[in-house]
Amino acid sequence: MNLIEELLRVNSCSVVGMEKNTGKTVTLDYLLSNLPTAHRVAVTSIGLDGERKDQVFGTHKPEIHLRRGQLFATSEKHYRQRHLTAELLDVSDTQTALGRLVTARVLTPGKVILSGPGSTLVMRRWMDTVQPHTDLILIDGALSRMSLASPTVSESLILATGAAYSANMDRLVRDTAYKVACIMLPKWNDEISEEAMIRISGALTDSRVDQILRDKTQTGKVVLIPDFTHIFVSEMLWHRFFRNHPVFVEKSSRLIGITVNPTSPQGIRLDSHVLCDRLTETTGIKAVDLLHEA
Amino acid sequence: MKLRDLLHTDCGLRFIVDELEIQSGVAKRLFLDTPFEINPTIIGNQYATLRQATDAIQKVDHQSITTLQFRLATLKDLHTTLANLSGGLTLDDIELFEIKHLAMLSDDVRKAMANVGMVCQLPNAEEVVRILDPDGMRIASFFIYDSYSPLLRELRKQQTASPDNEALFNQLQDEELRIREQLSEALRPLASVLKDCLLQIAYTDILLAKALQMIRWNLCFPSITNDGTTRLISMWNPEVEAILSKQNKTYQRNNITLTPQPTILTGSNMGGKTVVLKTVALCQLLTQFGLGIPATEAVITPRIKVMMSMNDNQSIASGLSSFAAEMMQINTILRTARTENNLLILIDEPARTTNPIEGTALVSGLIEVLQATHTTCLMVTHYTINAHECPCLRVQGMENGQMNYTLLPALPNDVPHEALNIAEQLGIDTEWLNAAKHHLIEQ
Repeated sequence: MNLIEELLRVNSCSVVGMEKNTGKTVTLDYLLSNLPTAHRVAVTSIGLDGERKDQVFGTHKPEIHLRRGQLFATSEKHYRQRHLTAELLDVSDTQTALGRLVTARVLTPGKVILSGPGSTLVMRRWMDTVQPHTDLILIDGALSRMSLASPTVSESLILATGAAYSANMDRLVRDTAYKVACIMLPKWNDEISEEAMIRISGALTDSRVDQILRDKTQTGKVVLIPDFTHIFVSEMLWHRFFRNHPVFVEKSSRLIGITVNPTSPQGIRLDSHVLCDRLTETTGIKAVDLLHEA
Repeated sequence: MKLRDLLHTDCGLRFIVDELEIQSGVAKRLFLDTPFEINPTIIGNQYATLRQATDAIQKVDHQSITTLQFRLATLKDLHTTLANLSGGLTLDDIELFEIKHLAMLSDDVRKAMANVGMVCQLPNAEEVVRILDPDGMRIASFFIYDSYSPLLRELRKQQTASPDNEALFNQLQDEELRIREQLSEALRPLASVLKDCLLQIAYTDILLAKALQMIRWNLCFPSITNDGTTRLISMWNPEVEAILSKQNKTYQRNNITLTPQPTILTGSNMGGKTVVLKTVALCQLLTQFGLGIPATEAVITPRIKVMMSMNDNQSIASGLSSFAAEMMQINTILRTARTENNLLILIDEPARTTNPIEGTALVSGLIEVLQATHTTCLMVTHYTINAHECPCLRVQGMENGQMNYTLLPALPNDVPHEALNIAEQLGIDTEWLNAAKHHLIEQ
């Protein structure tokens, strides 16, 4: 199943990266230019992402290309720097790091840097206002801001991974597979009784996991967490834990696909084909290198 | 003096201000800048406006008021944008959008106010809408519309065909800039109208919030006088009432009349004397900021200043003992009273931290000198004072184990002796109280 077809079935999708420079922006650009023109799309980003220059490495990052009719939200600063004609629809009182949040509709195609709401609450509010006017909301998720990929914010997600995360292919595949396993945790069903279950409302951390593992009265009990963004467990410990305690989520996430950037900003280049095949095989989700495919 | 400066006054003013449902941030800031008004005519006019608004909204349905509130809430602070406009700058798209939004909002607010029946002083900003809505769409969105210039339309057509043509894009930018300059020039003479719109919408917001509070809490409009009287019938302190109602207790309201001379207030401990003092201060401040009064009837003289000495003088930072700090504070009050004849002075238990013999002498002396200044003053004391010339009130006190907070006329030396009874009610150590009773008998 290809990414675009999957996207047509959801109302919102976050694109999140395992690391900076794993090709999030390329993925977003691909989606925005390949979705059917009649499909009404709104797009924004989390916080400062979408800078012209990468904040860490100073490498070039493409601006987002938008087509006529697409809605977007960005900061005042980046709205002024836009490279397209747009109809201004709203200037919110909410301050982002770069000024107020501006929502506009593209009139003539062009490029813009996206820097949207910085918190889940503001993001939710923005999504609620544009929802009636769109078929799909795309969110450019940011580095280490997984909470915004939570199913309480967006219905589905696309995971971007690549050599920027690790130049060691084994490690890259293993860690990506771990992330995918977390995202795809099954939704809890009512058949499990409260007595046979450990309910965790906050974060599932190494120390919490350790505590559960050492408590013999808890052996074999099912663990319930709100959603995958609450997992902060190291991979090694997770596998041991998961063997003894099946983990369920209250709100499940829908992983639409994995995109791969085989190059890293330091110039390392992994074999795109091998990487995609190994990721698809290990995770069970189709991994694609969009630049290679094109 | 502005509301902002007096908000910290320990009398429950902040509570009332916080409970006002002012919708926009601009209006909230503007409200905090309300001056402490001393001119009786201006205060009278403010209440006339508030009365009109209150009468009007009492007659309409909740929905019309909500609609108006919803419109008022969308007001944005455009001071910078308007300053840029009158300062000769060329406005950018965001600023032009804001101006269009304001002009259309003022039209919407005018309509919503007419539905509610409020008197509207909003200037007409139709000319602004005409400039920024060339296609007559009446939509609050904005861009440099194609209809502003045939060249722009042509360039945009070309750009859609070849989006990556840099030269074309630059040409387009130049043309957009030229139009922005043109629009800014056309709008510049209207800057003062826009500024007026902004202020009037904010004032409407404040007025509506005040009127709604009047109705919600059943507040009264004060009668303004200039004879130095303060008369409050069935007054209450909304903050204290809110605290009591959380504990399922009711607030016992009381009446008080003050004239231009010291009035002594005595009464048992926990008899609500300090609350009376603070509520009198509150009603005075509310009048001079044009808000509703928590009483069934109020007669108030506008004052130059409200001066208070409460039990909070001790401060390590100032390096003064509680006695010294209090003396200094009352000294300032006394000196002001000698030069200004229109003050409201509220003093809570002066000289209570020293020995009762000298304390009594200090308070008696203070009343004597204040009497000579003809200043309206309310003073709480537990001392037996010899001042038969000035009016005196006392709290009715304990009745069948219950406190009756009613204020009654009394003699200055009619100081109740209920401290031991009340201490007993509080469950204070019996050995201590028995020893105290023993000492009383010995005296």
